[in-house]
Amino acid sequence: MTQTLDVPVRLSLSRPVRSNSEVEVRLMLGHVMETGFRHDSSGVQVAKDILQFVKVHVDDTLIFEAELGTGMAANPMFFFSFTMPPQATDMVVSWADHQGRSGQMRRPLTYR
Amino acid sequence: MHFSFIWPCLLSLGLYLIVATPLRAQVLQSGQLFLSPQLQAMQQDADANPVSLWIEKGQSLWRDNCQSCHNTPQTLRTSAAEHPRLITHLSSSRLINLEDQINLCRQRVGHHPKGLEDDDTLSLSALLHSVAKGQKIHAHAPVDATGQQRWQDELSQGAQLYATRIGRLNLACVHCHDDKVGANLRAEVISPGHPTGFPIYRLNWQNMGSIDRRLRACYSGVQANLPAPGSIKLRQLELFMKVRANGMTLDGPSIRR
Repeated sequence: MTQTLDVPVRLSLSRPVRSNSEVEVRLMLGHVMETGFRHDSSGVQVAKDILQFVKVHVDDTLIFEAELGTGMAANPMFFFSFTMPPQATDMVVSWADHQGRSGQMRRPLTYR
Repeated sequence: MHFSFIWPCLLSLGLYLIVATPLRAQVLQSGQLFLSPQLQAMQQDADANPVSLWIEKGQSLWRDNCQSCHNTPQTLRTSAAEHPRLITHLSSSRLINLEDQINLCRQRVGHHPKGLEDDDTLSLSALLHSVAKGQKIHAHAPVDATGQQRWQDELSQGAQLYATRIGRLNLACVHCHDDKVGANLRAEVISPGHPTGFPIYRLNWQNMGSIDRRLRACYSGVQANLPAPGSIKLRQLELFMKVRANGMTLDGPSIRR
C-alpha cells in the first residue's frame, strides 16, 4: 500500500476479493472538516477546511464519488457496496480539501 | 422449636447481601457500559471506529521514532496501567501521566516536546493504551520511603480535590460519580467515572483527547475556573481516580459521547 499524504486514509474490504462478487468497501479519512463558522477561545475565526471531494477508482473506472460540505462531521466515513470486476489491479482513493491540499492512496487488489 | 429465631437472622443477612453487594459491583463499572448499543458496536468494529486512525498513525510514528530503543509497543504494555507515577529528577519529584512521559522521551532524545493534545502525542498514547487493553489498573507508590511519603501526599491531595465542591454549580466529583451513578443528567447517564478507556474519541469534540482534557471539561461542566493543561491538580486527580479504579481492566482507547 503506497500512501503519499498527510491525511490518513483507512481503506478496508469486508471480505477477500473475488471476481464478480460483491464486497463492502469501508473508507475512513482522518480530516478535521472545519466548517469555518467556529471561533476559537480567543474569538478568532477558525479557517474553513473541508474535504471537497473523495473519489474511489478501480483502475481507471470511477466507482464512488462524494462531494462533502460543512454538514459532514470530522473524520468522515463511507461504506458502499461494489461488485468486483473480473480483473483489476488497484483501488485508488483520491481527495482534495479546501486548503488546496490533495492526495491519493493506492491499494493493490489481490484476487482469491 | 428453638430454631425459629434463625429465620429472621438469615432473612436480614440475605437483605444485607442484596443491598450491600450490587453497590460495589456498580461502582466498578467501565464507562463502556454506559454507551448506546450503536456506539458499542462502533467501538467493536475497527473499520467504523475512528480511534483506528490514531492507532495506525501511532504505529507508524513508533516505527520511525521509538522502535530503536523500545522495541515493540507490547514491551510497554503495562505502562498505561501504571501511570500516573512519581518521577524524581534533580532531587525534585513530580507526578507524570503517560502523555507527559511521551514528551519526556521526546526531550531525552533531543526533540522538542509537543502539546498534550497534539495529534502525534495522542496517537502514541492511543497505541500504548491499545496494547494495554486487558491489563489491570495498577497505580502504586514508588519503593523508596521518601517517594512513598510524597506519593501518599499527592494521593490525598487528589482525594481531597475529588471531594471538594467547585464551580458555580457548587458540585464535587463525588456528588455525581459516587452518589448518583446510573441517574440521568440531561441526556446522559452518570457513570462512576473510572479512567479505563483513555485516551477517548469524544463525538462531542470530534477528536481524540487525553484524560487531562476530559478532566478540564469536567471543570467547565460545573462552571469552575479551568486549571491549565498539565497542571498538578489534574495529575493528582488522575492519580486518585486510578487508585480508586485499581484492579479494573483497561478497555483501550474508547469512543465516548
